Amino acid sequence: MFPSQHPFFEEEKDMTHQKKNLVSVGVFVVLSMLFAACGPAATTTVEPTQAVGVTVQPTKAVPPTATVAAPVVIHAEGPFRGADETNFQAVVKAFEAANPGITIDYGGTDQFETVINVQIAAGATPDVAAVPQPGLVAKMAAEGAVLPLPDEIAALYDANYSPAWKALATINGKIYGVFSRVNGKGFVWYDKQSFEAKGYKVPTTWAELEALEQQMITDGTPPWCVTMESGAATGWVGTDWIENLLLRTQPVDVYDKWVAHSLLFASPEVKNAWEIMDKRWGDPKMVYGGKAYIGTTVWNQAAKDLFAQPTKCWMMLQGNFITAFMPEDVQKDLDNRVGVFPLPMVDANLPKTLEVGGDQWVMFHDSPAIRKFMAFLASPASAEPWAKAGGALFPQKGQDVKWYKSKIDQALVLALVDVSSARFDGSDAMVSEGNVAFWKAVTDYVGGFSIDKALAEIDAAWPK
Amino acid sequence: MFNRRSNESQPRSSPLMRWMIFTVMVMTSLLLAYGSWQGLKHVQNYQQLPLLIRLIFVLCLGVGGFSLSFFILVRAVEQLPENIQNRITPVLFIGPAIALLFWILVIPLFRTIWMSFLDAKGVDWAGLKNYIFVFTDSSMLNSFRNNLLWLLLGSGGCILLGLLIAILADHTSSRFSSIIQSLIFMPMAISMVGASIIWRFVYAFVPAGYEQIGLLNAILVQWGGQPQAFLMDKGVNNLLLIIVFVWMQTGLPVVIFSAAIKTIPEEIIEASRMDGANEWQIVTQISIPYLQNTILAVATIVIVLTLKVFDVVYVMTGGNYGTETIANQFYFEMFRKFNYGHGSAIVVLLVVLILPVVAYNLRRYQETLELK
Repeated sequence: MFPSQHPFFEEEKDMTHQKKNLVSVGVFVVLSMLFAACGPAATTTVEPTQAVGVTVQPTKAVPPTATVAAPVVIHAEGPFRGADETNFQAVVKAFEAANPGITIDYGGTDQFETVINVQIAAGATPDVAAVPQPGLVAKMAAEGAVLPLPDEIAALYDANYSPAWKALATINGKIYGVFSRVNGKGFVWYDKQSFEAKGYKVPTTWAELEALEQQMITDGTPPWCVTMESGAATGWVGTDWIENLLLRTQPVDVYDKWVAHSLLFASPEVKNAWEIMDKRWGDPKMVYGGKAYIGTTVWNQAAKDLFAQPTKCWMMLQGNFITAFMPEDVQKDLDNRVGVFPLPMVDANLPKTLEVGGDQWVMFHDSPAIRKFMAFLASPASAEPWAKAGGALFPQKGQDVKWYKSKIDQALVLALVDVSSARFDGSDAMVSEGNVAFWKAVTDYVGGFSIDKALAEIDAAWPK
Repeated sequence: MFNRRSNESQPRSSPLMRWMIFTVMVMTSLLLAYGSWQGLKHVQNYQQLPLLIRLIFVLCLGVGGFSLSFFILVRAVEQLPENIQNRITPVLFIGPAIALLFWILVIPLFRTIWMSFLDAKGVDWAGLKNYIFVFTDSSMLNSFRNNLLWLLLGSGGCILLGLLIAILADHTSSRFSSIIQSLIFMPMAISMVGASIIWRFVYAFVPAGYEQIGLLNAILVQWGGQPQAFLMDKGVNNLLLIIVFVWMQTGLPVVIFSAAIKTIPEEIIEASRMDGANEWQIVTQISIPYLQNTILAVATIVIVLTLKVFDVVYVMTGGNYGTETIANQFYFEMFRKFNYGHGSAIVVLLVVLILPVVAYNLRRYQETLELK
């Protein structure tokens, strides 16, 4: 291909047979030495069980009646990487200390959904996995890729979780996942010190919120901080807005129908929620930088803009995980610097429903050891190490709220543990084609599509 | 290679004997390969052993076991009569490579073609539905338009700029030209993803009235303009992505062209000067025709690169705001929507687009070999 390659080929031709023979003899000597060195190792392969004296631990499909022979390895997979992985390893250590003889072999990936789908297709699944997307759990359950929880573990829901969590985990009458790390969405965050210095009051009703927005605009600073660029997942910030607004304008059953797509996106209920968002996103007086800034700026920048001096914008709608993306000095002094309130109900007559998300641990294989691990994950004891390290909230009853360092986390965890009505992040719970189309449509809307066109686009992309 | 020596040095035993030795050696070799394979499969059951021990074990079996098995096989063939030997030896040497290529390239290709006629889950027959999608979906049509832009401006830009810079550099002092070449080649050392992240900052947008962090907007505002969200602007965003690609990839043509220019015989240029040709005529009528083959070779590389461009778009816009390319659409359908039918059909299309370029390149390569 390159002219420069030709001399290389010619050189090879010139190589004498003598040289080649020498090379081959050399290769032979090296190989035989290698193999001689490997001799003893190679013999163990024939009868591995006797040679090393360890019982082979099959990783797949152990009948549940088999006794636990030590040591057992459980292959676990999940989306935790970096600091999350370190914290999760602390959870693993707590389990291993309580259950000598069982080790957890954990591998994390930031492309979890892609990886697990490929593994399922290849028939090479781990023993257990933490799945962040409820839609994926439902899909795997429908395909029979994951096992329903054994009764003894499903029963732990009654003891350790509020009924709202059990309802979320139930798919067609069966429970497949154990909720571990969870998050709540629909919280409005603000810079406490600037907010108070300006004399703004936390709104408790939608009318108060609208009045506050107008006040902020009159004072010359846009009320909202929004950014959403997130690579291939760009758009999820907007889908969160629409979901939260739908839960605050319509009864829960409308939301459920919408997630199942028996209520179209083009229906007036969904369009109304989108228009309430558009009233903010579409108006540069209402949101810092307008749509151009929203669409081109990385999603967690809003958490930095919120604390900028002089103030760029006053409020940000996000889930509890956003605190980890706030400026470092703010994170160090969370309770004094950060304020938070739930986005008020637009229709005050509706019961309050919290939008939640969370990692569900599912079982691909069954064994007594795997059951022990799942039971541990369903208990408050599994929450302690990570809660103390910070950066995650857990839904199990019986946790000590003091495990969480900041008052904000303590308040949020109480809300999550005692939640009476909860719904998943709608886009996560939709079928993946719908989820992706929803993200894409929000992005297209920011890029200039009309709301009607964006809504029609999602309905068209839904699998028939 | 092995046979020659052994044939001369060893006394020939009876053909039957040699066939028996051959059979025994082949069986030993196969048994060894099978044993190594089984051994490798069992390693995963020994998670308790230290990683290093498992690693050595795997290396011994994977490299040692299989090499020895292959070596015995080669030796076995040497027992055969020479005419058979000469036929088998080449197959034996190239066989594993071909088999591996077959396994990881040819079979997946045909499987992909098969899957492009199946539905989203890859189960039921879907006929031409996936191809109808590929040629009617608005995002797909958008991606065709964008890929054409990439092909024309991206490949064209790289080759023309490369040629221009190489020719100009050739006319400067050698030290200066090597500095220029190094500077232009340097971006090639950055990964596509890294370069894309850097350029995202160049195009970054901050609302008017605040300090601009993007280079381009900072210049714009300095001259009294309004800051622009370039990557969302459907009029220019594709062009701006292509600029990143050209910035990164021009180094390759420059280096290759510069090397090729040095091979133009000085006499031809001298002679043309004597005949009164000016510099422009020398470049257009001597240098460029002389570089024809090199230009074609470079063009095929760059064209294939632009046809399958993915990373720049993925990092900078995620394929949003009308910047999708065929490769991005493939990723989107296959790994975000998990629509195996659509994904496979897009890949088949991409292969069909790239194949003629590669085929043409191979044919030209064959021709140059024959000329020699």
